[in-house]
Amino acid sequence: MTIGTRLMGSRVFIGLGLLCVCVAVWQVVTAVGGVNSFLVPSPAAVALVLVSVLTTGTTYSALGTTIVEIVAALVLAGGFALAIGIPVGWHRLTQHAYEPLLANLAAIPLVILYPVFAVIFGIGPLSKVAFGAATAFFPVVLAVVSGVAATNQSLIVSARSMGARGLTLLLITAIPSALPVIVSGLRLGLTLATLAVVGGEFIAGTQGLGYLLASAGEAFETKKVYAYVVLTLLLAIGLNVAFGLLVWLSRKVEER
Amino acid sequence: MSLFHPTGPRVGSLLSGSIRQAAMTVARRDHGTPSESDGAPASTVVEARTSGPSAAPSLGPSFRSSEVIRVEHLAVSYRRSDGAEVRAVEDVSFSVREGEFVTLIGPSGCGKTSLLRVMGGLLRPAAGQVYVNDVLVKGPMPDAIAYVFQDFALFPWRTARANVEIALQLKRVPRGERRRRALDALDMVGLAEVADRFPRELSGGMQQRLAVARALVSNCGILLLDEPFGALDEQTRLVLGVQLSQLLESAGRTIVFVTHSLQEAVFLSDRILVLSHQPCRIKKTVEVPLPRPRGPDQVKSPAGQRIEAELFQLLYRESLV
Ligand SMILES: Nc1ncnc2c1ncn2[C@@H]1O[C@H](COP(=O)(O)OP(=O)(O)OP(=O)(O)O)[C@@H](O)[C@H]1O
Ligand SMILES: [Mg+2]
Repeated sequence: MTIGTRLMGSRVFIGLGLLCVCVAVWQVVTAVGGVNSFLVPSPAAVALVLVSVLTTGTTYSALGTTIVEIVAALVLAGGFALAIGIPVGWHRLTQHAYEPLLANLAAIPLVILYPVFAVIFGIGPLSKVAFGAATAFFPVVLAVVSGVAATNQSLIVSARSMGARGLTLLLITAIPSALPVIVSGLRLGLTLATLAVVGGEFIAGTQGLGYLLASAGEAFETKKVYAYVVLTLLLAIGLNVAFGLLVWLSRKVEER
Repeated sequence: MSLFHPTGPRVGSLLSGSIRQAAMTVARRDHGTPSESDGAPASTVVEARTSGPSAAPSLGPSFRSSEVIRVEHLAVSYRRSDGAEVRAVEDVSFSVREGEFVTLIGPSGCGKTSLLRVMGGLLRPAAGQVYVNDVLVKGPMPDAIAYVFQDFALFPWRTARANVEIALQLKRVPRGERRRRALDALDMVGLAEVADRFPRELSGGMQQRLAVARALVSNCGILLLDEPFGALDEQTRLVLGVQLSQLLESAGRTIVFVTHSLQEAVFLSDRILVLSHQPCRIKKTVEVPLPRPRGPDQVKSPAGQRIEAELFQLLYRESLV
């Protein structure tokens, strides 16, 4: 435990250290000159703008919208992925038939279909949720299929010998066995949903962080652009941490 | 002989109290004073089995009547990945009486596991049928049959206790009773201290005992045990074997057992079915008319030695073909 904690500590330390070095280099380069301060403003200047941006209400409502869109997209993607992935992975035949298909579909860059989403679901948050869900769906469903299919056959036989059938059999064998894989699929899905939602808002939207980013860009307020980029980064980190916490909490609850 | 005289500390380091007690019971009986037993539960259990006067060697369950398992003209086939069909078991018929201990013995890969799986309703036969308590086996019968798998089949995400509890959970036994019975079963196999550990934190032998505990906990009348002590050292194997036979006999359980150890087979069984290789057929049925309770005297007696030698001959010839 102490070794683990110490390792954790040094890991965080090394990570933050690298970040500090990068920011310092960035600061030095911009201070020395030679780069256009309009295109690449100094971190200090960006930080100042970030603080001022964080004092306005519009930023928070945009952040709120984006978070709701991402969470909704992930929930939708997860729901569909479980509903489709579990039966597909459970039967040998459907797994062999559909897993390659899903893997190939996952390779399509969905962004080329974004206009279609905008046409169907409008330019508001709904299209972002749908686009985010579609993007996040594939890594999650692939994880569910492979996780469920990888269930140890002798555990299934053993559970059957003790009287487990149907849904119960699934719930005591495949689901717990696949859970770690599903969770990491969902984590990847979260990242992709974040990308898709913010990207969608950026391409065509009326609200959200991506929309603010696009507006700042169109107004040539580069410092603001950088500030929003940093904010997006913080959002992604925050969502990931929240996801980890959720997983940790559910494990604690289950243990009791 | 020293095999049967596990010294206190030695066994104590291997196993916890309950098994040590069983080991002592054997050792004590070895000195020929079973009637002097101080009323320890394990001894009482053994006493109960000794039917009739101690002078006449009793055949015990062999005289009991009803057939619990009836296997009729059973055949098992597998389809290989290249599509060809392999006969693993061919025309096997036998029956097992209530409370009887029948051992299947045969070369590796001959079809023992396949046979057991069909009996447990876990595998569909290519031909023939199995009746359990006069009911045709069509699928698992969790209220009648408990199974110990050759590969243990423990749930890695469940603790030892939760692994035992699952058998009861599936029968909707209330939580409190589930917990208590699981701990009792773990205690029986000497695993009470590691109840909260996960299977990966247990040694191979401990995992195997855990699988046995899970089969014991549901109080099924029939136990199908696929090499339950395969991964154990010889001492532990015998001590557990003694304990197992006591447990089973006390509850009048019927057992079909697979082992590769001839000594274990002679020590535990009422009857041994020697199986042939590919496809698996019953080559010979060997009765073990040694009196119970059994100690080293019976197994090392001329009669016991003769049976072991006969088994060895049968198997040796079988592995030559
Ligand atoms: N799922 C399967 N698919 C194809 N062949 C199988 C399958 N399971 C078993 N077999 C074959 O059936 C035969 C009998 O296997 P089985 O597991 O019943 O043997 P066993 O007597 O239990 O062996 P061991 O003593 O090594 O455990 C073997 O030749 C094996 O190759
Ligand atoms: Mg086997």
